[in-house]
Amino acid sequence: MRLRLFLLPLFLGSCGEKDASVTVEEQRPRTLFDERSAGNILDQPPLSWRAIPGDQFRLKNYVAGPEEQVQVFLGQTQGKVLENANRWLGQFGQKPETSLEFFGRLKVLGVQSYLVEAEGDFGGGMGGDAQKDQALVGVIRPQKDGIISIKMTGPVDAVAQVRDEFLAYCRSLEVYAPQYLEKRPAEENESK
Amino acid sequence: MMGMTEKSDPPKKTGQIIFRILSGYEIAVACLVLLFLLTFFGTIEQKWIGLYQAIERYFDIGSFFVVPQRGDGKVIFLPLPGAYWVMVVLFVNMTLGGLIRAKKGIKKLGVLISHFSILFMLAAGAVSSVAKEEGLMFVFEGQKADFAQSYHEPTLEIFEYREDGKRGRPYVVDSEDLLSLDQGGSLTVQAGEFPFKARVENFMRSSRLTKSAEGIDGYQLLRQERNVEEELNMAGAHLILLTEGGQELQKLILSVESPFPVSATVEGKRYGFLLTKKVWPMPYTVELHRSIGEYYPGTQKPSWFQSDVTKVDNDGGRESYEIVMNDPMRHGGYTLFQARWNPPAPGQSPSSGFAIVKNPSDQWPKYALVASILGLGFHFILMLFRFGGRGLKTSKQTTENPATA
Repeated sequence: MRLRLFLLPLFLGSCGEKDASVTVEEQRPRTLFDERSAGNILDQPPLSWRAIPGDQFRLKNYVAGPEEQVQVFLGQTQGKVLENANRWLGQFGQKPETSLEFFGRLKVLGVQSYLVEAEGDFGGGMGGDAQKDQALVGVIRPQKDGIISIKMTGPVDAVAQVRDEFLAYCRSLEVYAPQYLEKRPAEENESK
Repeated sequence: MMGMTEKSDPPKKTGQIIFRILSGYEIAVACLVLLFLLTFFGTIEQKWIGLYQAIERYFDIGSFFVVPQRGDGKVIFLPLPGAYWVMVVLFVNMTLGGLIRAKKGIKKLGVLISHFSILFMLAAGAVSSVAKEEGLMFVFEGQKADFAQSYHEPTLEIFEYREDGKRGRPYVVDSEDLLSLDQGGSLTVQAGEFPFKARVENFMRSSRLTKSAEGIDGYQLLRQERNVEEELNMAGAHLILLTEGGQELQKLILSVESPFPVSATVEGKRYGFLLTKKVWPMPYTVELHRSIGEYYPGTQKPSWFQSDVTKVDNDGGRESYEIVMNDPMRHGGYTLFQARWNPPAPGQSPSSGFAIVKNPSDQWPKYALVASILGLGFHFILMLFRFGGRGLKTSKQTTENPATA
């Protein structure tokens, strides 16, 4: 039941703008709409992280760390692990690696994934401006038609503070797609 | 004698005059002419403002007067009364003139039935205008859905995240409250017992979310001209979270363009905020097993499509249906028409879009039409027999008495 406690138009000067109040007491029943999760991945970010609007490249998009200076985002894209890892390193002016063996490992969504870390001056890219003294901690998970990338960027000190939370977040991700009738695509990828 | 009675009883005379005016042909003709003009100018104006806005301007219950305009705002005709209210007047007129004042008897039965059926059809339109709900259920092959979404109504959903990371049941702020902010103003929302108030500001019925270093969280909303295709209008707003005392906690930016919620933590709990087209829970789940279709040659317009679905009731009862163009699934007061079909995108499955309509008067026009056919058919047959009988009588009289022929 919606209860309109106070609906008093206050006319502000000649603008005709009004301020109104409403109390909403009834809750809509849960449906599969509420089970939707970007990328069919269920996550539980730390309470200090805040979700902000995403887009096709940032299916999950958070701000975190001191004064929300750190950005954490998850995306799915085409390409291979090494070429994406080297692109990230290139954004920080670092030399590309020749093999995946130079990267750290951790398991994400049931698959061995690669940890990419860099520090330096961010040269800009993906809609971001060039900035000095920045850091990157990123994870790239291979899948059937490309990769899942989880990336954290921000000032060196702030990224260092959030690093452990970020890695714990990556490990805690779960495939979640209750809208599928049978085996979900992500699970198929895992089994290959 | 009658004249004296009329003189000594003026209220009755006034009442009779009013009754005669209200039930007269003059009002019926005026209403029909007005409805013709409203339909004519509504159709013309639809070219510029689209179907949704044309219906809203010309036929909505809230439209008392309408000034027909061109797309550039130039007035093209005199102000007209809203079609809904013209039909109300026509309903009253036909009830008084076509039922109460009309001659009764077996000879007029067919006409009375057809008058009644027209009234029934007008009532069906009124009920539909007030009570009809419609939305779109979009399902990929191999998936299921138990909700539809409104085409046009933006709503604000506020919920708490559960401990398992999933969303809790949302409190929903109606589109009516939000749309009233399109010209300015703000709306402060208290959702249940949540320990904050949420103030909606800068609401835009049609907007675009763009990146901006000076906006909120790196984004800003740009107001857009309202699209004639109402479905394409993406609402947006700023949301300010406030303490009970009115102190600002957090600024958020919301857009229908962004399909997943933004969040904020208040008093150690995480809350989600989502501006989205109104979510409409269905009383059953639709499982889509097969979605097939064809395009007209050389176009992207589907010429034919079919969906094989299973309806699963809340109690687990299952029933299979084949939904084809113009052959909808009807169940529990809901009608599912297949309105769209999308072929599979690379790496994806094909999908079906079901237009869902819940309309208490859904079948009334059909009943009214059947009643009208029966009524007029009865009247026609009666007239035919009367004509035939009169012909026989005349012929008999002519035979018996040729001098009178």
